[in-house]
Amino acid sequence: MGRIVIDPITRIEGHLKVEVMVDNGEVKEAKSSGTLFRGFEIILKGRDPRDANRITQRICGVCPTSHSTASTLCLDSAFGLGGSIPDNGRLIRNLILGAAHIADHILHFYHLTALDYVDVTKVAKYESNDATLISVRDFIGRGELGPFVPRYEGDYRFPTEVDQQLVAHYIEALRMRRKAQEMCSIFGGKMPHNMSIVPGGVTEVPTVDKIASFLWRINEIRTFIDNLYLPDVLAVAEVYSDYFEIGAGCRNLLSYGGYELDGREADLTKRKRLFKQGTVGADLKLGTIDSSAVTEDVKHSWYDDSTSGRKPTEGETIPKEGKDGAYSWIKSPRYNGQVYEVGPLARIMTTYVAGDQKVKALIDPALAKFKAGPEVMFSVLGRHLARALGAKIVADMMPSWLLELKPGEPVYQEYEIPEESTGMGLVEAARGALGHWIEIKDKRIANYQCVVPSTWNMSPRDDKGQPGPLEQALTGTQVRDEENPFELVRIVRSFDPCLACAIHLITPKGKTLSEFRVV
Amino acid sequence: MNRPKAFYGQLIHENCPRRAYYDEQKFAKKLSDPGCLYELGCKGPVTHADCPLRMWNHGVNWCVACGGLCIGCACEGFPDLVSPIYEKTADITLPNIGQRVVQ
Repeated sequence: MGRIVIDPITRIEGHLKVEVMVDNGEVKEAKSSGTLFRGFEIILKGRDPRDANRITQRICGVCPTSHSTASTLCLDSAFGLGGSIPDNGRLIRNLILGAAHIADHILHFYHLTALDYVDVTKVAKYESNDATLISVRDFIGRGELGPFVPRYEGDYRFPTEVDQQLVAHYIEALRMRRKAQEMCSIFGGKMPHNMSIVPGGVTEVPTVDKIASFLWRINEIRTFIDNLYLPDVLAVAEVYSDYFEIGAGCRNLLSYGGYELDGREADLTKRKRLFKQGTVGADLKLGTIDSSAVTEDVKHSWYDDSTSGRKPTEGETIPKEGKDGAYSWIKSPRYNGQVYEVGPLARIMTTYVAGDQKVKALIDPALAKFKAGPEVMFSVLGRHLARALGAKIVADMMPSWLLELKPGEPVYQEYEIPEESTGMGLVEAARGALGHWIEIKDKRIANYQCVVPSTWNMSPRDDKGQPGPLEQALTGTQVRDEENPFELVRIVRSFDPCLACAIHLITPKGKTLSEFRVV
Repeated sequence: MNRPKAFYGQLIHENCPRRAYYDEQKFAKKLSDPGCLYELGCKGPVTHADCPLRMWNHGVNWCVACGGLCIGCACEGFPDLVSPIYEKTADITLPNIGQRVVQ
């Protein structure tokens, strides 16, 4: 039996180590390890509850918007504001979050994943007159291979001209991401770490010039999604169609739902949302969610065993580095004790099986091209397709949200901080279901817990020994070349892991020079 | 802190577009209102950075312009020394404020 260790997995957010045992080319066992302790929940104790909103954003510079949204919904509910956020505030929150999701999805497909499928070295021989490709050719010619290596060799399937075209789209995608970040900034103040989303609504007021400057950007991005992003995902799917059969994983999906379409419902689990809340299993039936059935196991994580199996409302973070049998800083969230995958696939599929006609009209024709039904969505390519369609669905909604804004009307509702309260904020981050829970005592944070998407997806074994979603997706995979385990990294990256902010220095040969711990 | 003075030499407060409100003592009573955000907790008077000049994301916006106040994220000791974020900073003597630019 052979062992393959990929540490760190590059082109993801944060630091992830994947270790698999391979027998006759088949993965028999997989372990996913998050190797950095952050401790944000400990940092938050004793602070003013409003500060949670700003501090939790600093968990990550890629998805701070999702954290500010979850934290704000959590504080809204703790402060008794659910259902009284002005419409302008609700819509601006949707617009900021939507811009962040679009930026994230474009980032993931083009800049983190595409190079698993696209051979960038083909641009070295580019001879025509496209200015973008000439600049990439010259960049490579100077030996500046930074974003493109290290990489595996031997399974790049596109003809040269398609590879070159996709590299040109990679560069165009950088410009689109910049525009999406500018959109976050128009109503959020800045990106990363917006200042506008606060309990009670937002701080930025809508004006005609801001609406117009947002609108031309979103329309440009919609053109990009329709003409490049979606066709490029389908082009990858056509040439690498075997990846509809690879990396299925646990076939249990969970989505909290996202983008508020209704500002008056106080209970956020009952609020009407663009993406539906629920679960989907292999039978493609929609299940309802009871947020109190979420628990976190820590038997295989470096935390004290006394904290295992708890609900986030009762959760505690007591680090225990080097604990026997543990191999990760990631806890194991479970729903009803079962393993669930979260992410764009989950929110698209819950919305699909809930019978949403718009989503059906996007998914069915896309899959018909491959003569396949919705069951193939449980795969590497299913995740990429769901992400691209998710970007399109949100982008197509944004012009109407913009035009619903009413300049001059309030964006913010005042409130008092209660002496004691509890709150919960559930939202879909770009990478999936994100939950924040708060307990307030004496107007201070007594406890704060975040259960983030990559904790679900990259989780280690739970107390019952059930492997996490990524571990299950890797197990059973055939690895053609153990020196170049394309299959494994393509599966890992299809989840869009985001582990946030490890600081490692690595030599070109992969030797770790030094490690720093950020606690 | 050994940071380049070109970017960190001045206080947010010195270049703030809402400075005129401060000078006239017109303070915002709640977030999203016009007015100086000092009484809502703005850390601009103690934070050295050039956000009001360079702004963020291609000059699109920045924290105070969006009504979200400065939380002092560029301060040494952030967040402990600048929290609670949404409480007025204790009265402070502001360095370099009111001095003649050309001596």
